Amino acid sequence: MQYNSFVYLTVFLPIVVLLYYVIPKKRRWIVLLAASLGFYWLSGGYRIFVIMLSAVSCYGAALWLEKQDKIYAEKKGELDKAQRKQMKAEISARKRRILVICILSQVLILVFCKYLNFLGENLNAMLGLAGIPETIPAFRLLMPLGVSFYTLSAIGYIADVHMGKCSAQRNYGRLLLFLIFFPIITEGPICRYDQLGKELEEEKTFSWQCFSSGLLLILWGLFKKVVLADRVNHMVQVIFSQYTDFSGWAIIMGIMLYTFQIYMDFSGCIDITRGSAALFGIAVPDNFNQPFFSASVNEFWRRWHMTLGAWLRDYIFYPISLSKRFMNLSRKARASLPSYYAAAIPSLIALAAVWLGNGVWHGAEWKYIVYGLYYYVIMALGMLLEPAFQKGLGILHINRESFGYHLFQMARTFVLVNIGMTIFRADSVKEAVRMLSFVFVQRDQALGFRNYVLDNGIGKAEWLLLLVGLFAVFLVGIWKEKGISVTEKIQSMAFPLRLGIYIAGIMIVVIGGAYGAGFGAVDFIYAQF
Amino acid sequence: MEEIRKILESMKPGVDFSAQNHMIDDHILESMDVMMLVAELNDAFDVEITLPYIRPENFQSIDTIYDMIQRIEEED
Repeated sequence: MQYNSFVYLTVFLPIVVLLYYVIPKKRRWIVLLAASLGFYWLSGGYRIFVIMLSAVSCYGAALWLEKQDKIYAEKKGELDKAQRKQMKAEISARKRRILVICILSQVLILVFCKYLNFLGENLNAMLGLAGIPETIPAFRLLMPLGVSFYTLSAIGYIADVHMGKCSAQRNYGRLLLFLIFFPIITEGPICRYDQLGKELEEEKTFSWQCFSSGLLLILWGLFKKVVLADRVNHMVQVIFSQYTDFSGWAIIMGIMLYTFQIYMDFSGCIDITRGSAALFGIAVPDNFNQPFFSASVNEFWRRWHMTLGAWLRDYIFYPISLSKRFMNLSRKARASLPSYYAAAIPSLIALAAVWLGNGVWHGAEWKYIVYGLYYYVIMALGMLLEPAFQKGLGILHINRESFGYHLFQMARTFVLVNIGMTIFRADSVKEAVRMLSFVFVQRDQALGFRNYVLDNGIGKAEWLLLLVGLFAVFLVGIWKEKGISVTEKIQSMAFPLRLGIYIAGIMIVVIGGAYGAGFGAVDFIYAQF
Repeated sequence: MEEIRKILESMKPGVDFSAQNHMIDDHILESMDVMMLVAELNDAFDVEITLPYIRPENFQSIDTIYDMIQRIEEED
């Protein structure tokens, strides 16, 4: 069941909202759990048992970890300092073992469901090089819905309990609800237990302000998804499958349209997700913060898919960076290198794991690994060449704080991101490189920019709608950057005006959505991950 | 506190750290800076800042960093 489907919006969601507020506060979480299990069953069938198994492993491990802390707390008063230290070390080692086993079990489930054929294919290729015929068969794998998202949430939960950042959940049903909560299960965001878990535990009372902001968010998300993102889907498909037929400018336009599509699609889905949760009074973290206003690739990843970036930082970058071996390396670097490089070089090693993780997480294909490493190379070069850049800008008397330079930085980031998106969308890395090279190759028979833009199912009126939509998204982004909340502005308006906005929003989505002849239903892009 | 300020200033010259109360929220300290800072603090104060302490609220200002070190020393 898709979040933009008629069934979800007009049957499933209203029924769950109604039941939620009819039932006494103490039991409301059960409505959400039942709805989430129902949603998952309708979308993924028997694969629901995979997520239930993941939850069992996390549930047991978390309780066991907390028990170890309790044992230490009870006994430490009876021990002297040396004994305390020894006991602490023993318990830490025991806790680390159970943490590793639990994380490995989660990762193994993910590998089995998502990466098994990829590993088999590559092993076969390597055996083939050694003259051994293909030995590993391909399996028909059925990936559980949201496995990449909830696995990270599950690992985050168990790691947080291990570190004492949150308490273990004693109720299996509540932990399962945190992992399977229906608004977030398809495309995230990747949530933390100390945020969403707490939200789901609180007994919420109905708030019209929260409810109406939820409705507005759903409408805004639908607008981005069905009016904007889905409208350009056909054009994106055409350029990525037939780029050899088109001129350089048409290819550039097609790549930018894909970047536009994926942003509207993913951020639109997150808006629907956050809006759906807000109907129950539950806050879900945002995943986007005007990414195209970024002045660097580094900043872009702080604003794009924020919960993935934060997860990789907290559960990969920091654990590697703070390990004893790494601290020793950092110490050696500080003793032998200039201060800038002493900080940069150890970070670069830890960042390699982060970006490899980012690429692998996106999918079981080499192109995703290259996609992650592409950003790593850009960041690494940026960090290593920073002193040279600074010198160069000084010589050229360019003010880094000037508006013009900031615009240049934003444009540069936009170009780099579009190259990344080409790798992400193309069938393979080879195809992406070929497509990008075709931008610069002059071909006499190639169809021009005008042919691409006007002969692929989008008429002038629809282009106007797209431009107006893009401008609206840009304007809302500017306001958000300035700390102005459009939702609050609308909520503070007089009732007739507010009602008018709601009706207009529904009309735009219903009339302006990309349905009917020439448009098919388009799945949410990130749902495949 | 003076020592913490000196470490921060050696990492990021030109920033008035004593006036900062939201170093993480304002992106004055990025994750790579936090990592470097932890390495420096470990050596300067002979403590071991472990993962549970790596929370934004512990690195927002000189005061919060100082409080964190105090807590670690007490636990040891």
